[in-house]
Amino acid sequence: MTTLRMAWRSLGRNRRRSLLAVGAIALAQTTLVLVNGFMAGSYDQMLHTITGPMVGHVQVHHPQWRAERAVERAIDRLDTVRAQLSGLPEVETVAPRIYATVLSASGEEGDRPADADAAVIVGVDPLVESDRGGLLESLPAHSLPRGDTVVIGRVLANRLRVKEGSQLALIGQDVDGFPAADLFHIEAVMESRVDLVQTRGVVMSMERAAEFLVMPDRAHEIVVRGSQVEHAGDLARAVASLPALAGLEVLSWREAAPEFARMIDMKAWVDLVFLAVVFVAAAAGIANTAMMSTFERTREFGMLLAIGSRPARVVRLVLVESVFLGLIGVAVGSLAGTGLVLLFAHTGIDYAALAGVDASDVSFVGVSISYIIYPRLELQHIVSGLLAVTLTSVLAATWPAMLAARLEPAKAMRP
Amino acid sequence: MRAFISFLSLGIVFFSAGIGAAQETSAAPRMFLEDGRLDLDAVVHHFDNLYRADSSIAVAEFTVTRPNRTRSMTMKIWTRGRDKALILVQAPVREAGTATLKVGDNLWNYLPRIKRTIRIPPSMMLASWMGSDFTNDDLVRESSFTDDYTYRLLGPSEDPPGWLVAFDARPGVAGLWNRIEVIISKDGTIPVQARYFDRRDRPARSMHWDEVRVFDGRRLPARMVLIPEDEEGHRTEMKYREIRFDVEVPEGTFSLSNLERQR
Repeated sequence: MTTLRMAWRSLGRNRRRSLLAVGAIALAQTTLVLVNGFMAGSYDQMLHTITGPMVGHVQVHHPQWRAERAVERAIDRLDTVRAQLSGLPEVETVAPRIYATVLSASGEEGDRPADADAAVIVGVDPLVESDRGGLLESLPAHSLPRGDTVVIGRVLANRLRVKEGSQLALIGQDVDGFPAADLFHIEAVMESRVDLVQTRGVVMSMERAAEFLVMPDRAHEIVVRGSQVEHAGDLARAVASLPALAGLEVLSWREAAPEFARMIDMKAWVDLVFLAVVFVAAAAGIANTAMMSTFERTREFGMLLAIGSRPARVVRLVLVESVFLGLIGVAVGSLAGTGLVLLFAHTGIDYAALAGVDASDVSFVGVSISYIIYPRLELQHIVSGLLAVTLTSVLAATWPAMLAARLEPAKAMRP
Repeated sequence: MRAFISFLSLGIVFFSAGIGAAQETSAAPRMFLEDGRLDLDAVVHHFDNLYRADSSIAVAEFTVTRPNRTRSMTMKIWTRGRDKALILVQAPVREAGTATLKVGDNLWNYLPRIKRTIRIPPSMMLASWMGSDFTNDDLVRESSFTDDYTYRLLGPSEDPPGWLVAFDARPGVAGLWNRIEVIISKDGTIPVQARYFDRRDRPARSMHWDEVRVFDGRRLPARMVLIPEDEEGHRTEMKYREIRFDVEVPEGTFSLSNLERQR
């Protein structure tokens, strides 16, 4: 107990130095908590966006679909497949989709023939897609596509110079390669986070897309969502074992968007790098303080040893001083960091403004992700900082402590 | 020269576009130099004459093959000069009336089912034409192709037998093909095969001509087959049933209003 009191008093004897050391450690811990919180927030956002409207948790395709994206590479017996998928207890939504590249043009009759542009038919189940996380989540119920009415992406609408209420001509080939053409009515022009939909998408009901392409009871993709994205791997295994899905390709979002999965996995490393930075800052601050105060107090230690202190006690004294420094620093830093994270979690950080970019989102694997990040507090960041600093304080003070313990009282006390 | 190259580029579909006033084969062209090598300039000159015509009307079978399916259409093709063409699908009934009009670099498609004409803008030139392996670009390319390539004789070819001629993109020309290797029949009168190399000099597609027949006094390959390199099971075949040269084709044939009146 006296050791603790002595250590505390020693720290108070050179306040400025102690405060500087505490400040360095606190700053490092604040940065750690804030940066890691920012990272956690931005990864959450990406994960949410990626596994949201486009990729989902698990995807089912014809085995050749992803390589060719040819319209005939479709999943057969869709109704049966869908029924079996919906029967799985862990499945929340089953969203079948049809994709087909076509030419599109304004279908309004004008003086001159309208210019064509590439578009992609996205055939969906409007009810499923208007649920949370679906492609049409942002659309009001009365605008959902049905029959000959379609919803098209904002960019495509601008390129074709069409608007809500316009007619839209689509020209392509059906599943057998024969020319297909039809007129549609544009019910709504939508903003979508999914690049494909925003720039090329003509979203219509599954039934209408299947009719245009002459591919009834078939789909190119089935997007399955479970209750939690963390269980996507298990969900994929459960889906793959369904008898109706034999021979089809079943992918979890990790396999469907591997670039993204790799980024998520890299997060652990990024966290570690920041932890290392804190470690080094703490080590430098503590080692310096411990070293200086040991050298300055040579006479004091000599005296302690002379009046009968065991060297081990001198070691403990120096170590406890640095652990105090470290803990106070971490505590202050954690408080400040947590405060900042909670503040920004409320207001959001506009990353684009920070980086001087004049855009509100960034496109990644075909989905735009907002630049506004809401940091998330993770307890493990505080705890790991705490452990790292405590460990560092002990390690960094060991050498000065040993030096102090080995002093010869007679020599040390000589002025 | 220009007509010959159009034969390579798209000529392909409209190759009748330049087919010419019956310079009868009576005066057999001299295609060889004294050392027995092919006289390339003479060959090019020959093709120049061979594929020159003021107008033509042709009927062809157009067959698109994909890994699991094949579809055929019958097309009627009117041409006038080298820059005007109208292609009309006549069969099957379901597609009848679908038409493409080309005037210079412009391309329009008429879709009878929706009674709409759509212009294919420059940005869509590399898209497939009628779901085939031909691109829209193949149909209009001719007009700008000539100035972009130089030609040289590489020597005799073994398989298929004939002469190998290389067409190289002129430096600084931003075209689709870096190089086209053409094999011309032994007598120098008929193209046999062409291989197209993309800008990175990778083979991209090949064209094969065969079934040489006499059409309206001209000896020509009736069939041409386009095979893309990287897509297994894909091919597009065009087989002429009949071609008539220098028949009366009124100027009004190549108008938007006529395009929509064809059903």
